[in-house]
Amino acid sequence: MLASAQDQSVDRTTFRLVGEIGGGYSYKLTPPKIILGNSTRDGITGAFRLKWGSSNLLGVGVETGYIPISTMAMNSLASEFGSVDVSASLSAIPVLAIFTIQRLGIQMHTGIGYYRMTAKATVMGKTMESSEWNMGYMLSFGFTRPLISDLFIGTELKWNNIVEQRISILSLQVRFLYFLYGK
Amino acid sequence: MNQLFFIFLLVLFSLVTLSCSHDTVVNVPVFVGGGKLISAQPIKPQQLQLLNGVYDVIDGSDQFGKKVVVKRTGKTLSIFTGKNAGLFVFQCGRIDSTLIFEGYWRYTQGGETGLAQFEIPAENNGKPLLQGILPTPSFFFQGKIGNGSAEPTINITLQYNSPLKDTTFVILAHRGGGRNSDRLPESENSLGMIQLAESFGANGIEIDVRLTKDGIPILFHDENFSPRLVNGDYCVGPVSNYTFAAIRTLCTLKNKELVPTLKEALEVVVNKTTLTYVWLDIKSPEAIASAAALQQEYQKKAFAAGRKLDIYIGLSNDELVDRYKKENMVSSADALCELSMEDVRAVNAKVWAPRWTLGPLGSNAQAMHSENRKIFVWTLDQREFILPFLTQGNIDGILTNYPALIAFEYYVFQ
Repeated sequence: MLASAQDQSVDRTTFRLVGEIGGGYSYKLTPPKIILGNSTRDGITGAFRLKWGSSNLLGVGVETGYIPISTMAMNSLASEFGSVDVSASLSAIPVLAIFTIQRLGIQMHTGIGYYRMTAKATVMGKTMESSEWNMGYMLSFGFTRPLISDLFIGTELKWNNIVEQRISILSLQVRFLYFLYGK
Repeated sequence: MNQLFFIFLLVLFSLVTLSCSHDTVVNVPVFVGGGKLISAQPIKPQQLQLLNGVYDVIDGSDQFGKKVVVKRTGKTLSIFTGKNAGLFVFQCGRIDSTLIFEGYWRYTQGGETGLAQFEIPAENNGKPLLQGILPTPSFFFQGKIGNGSAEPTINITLQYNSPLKDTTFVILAHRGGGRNSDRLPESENSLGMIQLAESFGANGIEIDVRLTKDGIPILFHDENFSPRLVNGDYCVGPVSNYTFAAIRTLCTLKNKELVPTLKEALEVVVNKTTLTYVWLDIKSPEAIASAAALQQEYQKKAFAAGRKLDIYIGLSNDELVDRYKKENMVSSADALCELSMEDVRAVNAKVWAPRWTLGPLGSNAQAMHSENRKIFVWTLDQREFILPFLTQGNIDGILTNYPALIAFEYYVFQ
């Protein structure tokens, strides 16, 4: 059904430049090694892709976005420094080279590149922010349906794995595709 | 198209497979219920020291080689073997005049481990040893080992061969005792690791010093935090971005120890070990001044406690040398310099520490010794590269990830 819907609406041999924007819910699969106070490991994620190719061949492109990874907050933590207030958050911005292919109406994407990891922490009233680039990759499966002429809507299940930090994030996103070139 | 699809799936499969990472599991076997030692009396260190020697392996040579070295290491007794840099670490005690040794064996280059239990019965040298009588070539040191946590059932028999002739050679354990990658019972650069270093065969340690954002010197090797060294999602990027309180609150070392300060580390060295050398591997020029202040403080404390302890400020690059000179430390702080002999002289370093890959030191060693400087070579971990340096006999110490291996090779080589 999904495959036929796409087959009827898209010429699979035309090369196109496609812009894609998505957003949804993300969840960090790897549990934290240290748990303090109230912690979260989910949030609202967003992604942007630009890719070139046909539906019939391997497409290539780039992807970026924003991935909230986790937060924690605790007041009056008993420590060697006395009673301290602690809060922290961790997020990532992916910068990935992506490859995409479509079979049976399912679009598969894989991407490899770097994630700009940023931690923000406030401990004993002092706030600090620290970032670094970590290698990682992404895998996703999704589908789309035509909305209006060159605009498509779909959904996608995505797995980001930030290898150097050993952090895996699963997300479910709604996405919109637009044919920027090659309509 | 199908080929392309197959390649795509293959890439996906490879990525998923490669992503499987496992934390190192540290497993030190212990005797259920505390073993026989739970009801034993302590043995005096000088009585344990009588067991020091090179022994022939009568039973167990398949696992540990033909010779081993037995050496008292602080309050424990260790055995260093030639095979896989193996070692035994025993806690010791006596029940009446029977000497009891219980602990574990492990290959430090491989990770296999198991329980070990040795005894010297009262009627078989137990009494003479407690009376201070040295073992003779007819002395047998016997026991059993097991695999993992299994009860020891495999016989090991060691026969005394010769005494250890000289124990002054400096064996420096890298990163406080060893690296995380070797799955040791404590994390690298931790207080626990420093206390284990002697039982691994070291009489000195090298520890890595860098500064927190608020200027506290801590022990940490890498410039950045990573899951290789710490647990804690919120410790990301440069260590110097974090205050000391944040580091102690947000992360721990791999085996859940707190990241130690240099002061805590030196306190442990002075009060909980008999280590005689500490090499402070300074990781940033900003850390030199505070490290030097602690060096002075703890050398004085060691002296006051009747301890011989040499602490060196390690200078590994030009930037550190320049800062060392700029801070006017040449006459006040003892340095160890890894650079050229000219640099060693310029900072009046007490120790020249050349990289082992520079090869035989020849007349350079003579020159350094004639200027009353020691020579420590780094970082030697393989037998074929260790032996040429021991054969030359013109170095004073070796920095290694496997102090058990250096101890074995050095004492057997004698």
